[in-house]
Amino acid sequence: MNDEGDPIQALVRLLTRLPGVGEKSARRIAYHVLGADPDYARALGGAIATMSERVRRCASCGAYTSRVRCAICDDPRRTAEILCVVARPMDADAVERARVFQGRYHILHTLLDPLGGVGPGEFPLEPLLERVAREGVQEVILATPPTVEGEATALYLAECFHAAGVTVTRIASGVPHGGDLEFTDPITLGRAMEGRRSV
Amino acid sequence: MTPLRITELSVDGFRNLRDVKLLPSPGGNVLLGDNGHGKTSILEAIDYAASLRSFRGATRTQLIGHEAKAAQVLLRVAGPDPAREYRLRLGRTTREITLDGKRPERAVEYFAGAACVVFHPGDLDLVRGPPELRRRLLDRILVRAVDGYGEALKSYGKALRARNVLLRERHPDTRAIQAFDFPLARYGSALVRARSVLAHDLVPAARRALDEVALSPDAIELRYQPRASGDQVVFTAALAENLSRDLARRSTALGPHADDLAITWSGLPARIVASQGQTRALALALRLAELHVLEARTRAIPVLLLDDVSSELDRERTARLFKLVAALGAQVFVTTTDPAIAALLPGARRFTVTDGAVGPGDG
Ligand SMILES: Nc1ncnc2c1ncn2[C@@H]1O[C@H](COP(=O)(O)OP(=O)(O)O)[C@@H](O)[C@H]1O
Ligand SMILES: [Mg+2]
Ligand SMILES: [Zn+2]
Repeated sequence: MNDEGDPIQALVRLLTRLPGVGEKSARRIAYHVLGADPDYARALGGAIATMSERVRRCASCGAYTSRVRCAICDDPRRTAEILCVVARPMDADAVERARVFQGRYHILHTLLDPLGGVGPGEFPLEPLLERVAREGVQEVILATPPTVEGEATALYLAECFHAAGVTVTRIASGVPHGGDLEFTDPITLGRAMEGRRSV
Repeated sequence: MTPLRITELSVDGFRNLRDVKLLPSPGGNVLLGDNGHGKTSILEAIDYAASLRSFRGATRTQLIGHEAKAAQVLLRVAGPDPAREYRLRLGRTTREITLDGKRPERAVEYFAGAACVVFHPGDLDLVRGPPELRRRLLDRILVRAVDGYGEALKSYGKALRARNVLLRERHPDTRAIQAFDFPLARYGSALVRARSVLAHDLVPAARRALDEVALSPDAIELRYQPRASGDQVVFTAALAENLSRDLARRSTALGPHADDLAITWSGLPARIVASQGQTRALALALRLAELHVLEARTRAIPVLLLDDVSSELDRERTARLFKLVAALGAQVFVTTTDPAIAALLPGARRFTVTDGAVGPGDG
């Protein structure tokens, strides 16, 4: 099918690049937007554009924010002494929902994943090490997912921090095997935070 | 024991098969046709949908028909549990699988529900070929019999490939390499443990099967030889100890990916001792042992797929095998070019395979 001049097809192609959206759901979304109020379509398009223009990564932790530093990094009630390292922004959200954590986060945005092209040379280790030194972090909690890459990343970081004399803990099990933190319920995760152990 | 039964099979765009729809008999089924018309492809389509692997070692893209957009297979399977529907769609860049319309959550649930045992001409290599084929036999059984095995196998493979990529870098980073030792040892030791238990169960099953194919069970021995420990701590220590060697050879030497299921005949490797005929019989016995173990572990009799047996076994052995199959109570699919062979499986439903299409057989 030639989609040069077909706006529906153009949108469908863009939508299928989203995670979990296939051709069929992309078409359903496109038809839904067409069937809705034209203001909705304009607002949706505008919101997407504004978001990608205004939101950036927090200069200190990597969370998405429309300011230079995110609300958590700017919150004086949160201790800088404990740092929770996660892979993705939604993993930090999951820990946050458990409401037991008083420290700050560090979002890697990637894992050590040589098969995916992220070897030790590409892995963003330096900014994390610098931050830990700069902010006087006493304990680093490694909350990467219990997957092959997540476990390897945790171990890699643990070794790096041991060398730097920082206490490292791994979030305790309870996070289901192979699962994403994102899908873990807050109670399990809260317990995991409290039951974390030294590595 | 309840046998698994394929009650419906639809295939399209898989190798040369076009619009194939089959309602098999719960007992014997014979696929009759000249060479090159698609008999093996039908068995491969069944087994691929059930095991997500080609028993000929073909890659996914090789299985898609040259003219087709995608290969599609539908299997309906009845057994001890409510009937299941397996759907597979292989595109050039995608693979979609559903079990009863949903993405399967656990490997064991998927694989156990449609367990097939295949015996095909390439199986001579089970005895003569490299260890990989014998490991694959163990893994084939275990993904069906042990909850979590399929997942552990996948994770182990990932950790192994990642570690090997790191070992091949120009300036290998030992800290990163050793970071992958943890998942490698964790999943690797789990694989070794499961395989060791299975190898233990396989011995009596193989004795029974050897007897069934008229080989002497006393002369033949199966032994799983893990080179790394089933204990995670010991496994980890061995990896650390081997690091300099791994760095030199630029890959991970130790682990279940390098193990073998050794087959000895009067104390010597079977591949050296066994004649051509004995090798065939031995390969068949291994497949029958697979069936017996699966039956015991999953509490259902697997479907038996016999490709071109008459080219593998003489008439007498074929007749004996068919008798045995009838006694096992398994649903069976047999391919052959020879109508006389078809006649050896009394009461079987016949299908003729012509140029990628299937029709009812005569008689
Ligand atoms: N991807 C493919 N697309 C189309 N035809 C194929 C493909 N792969 C193999 N074939 C052809 O399918 C035919 C059937 O093969 P096979 O099932 O092995 O036949 P049989 O077992 O009846 O001898 C062969 O002629 C082979 O060349
Ligand atoms: Mg064939
Ligand atoms: Zn921040």
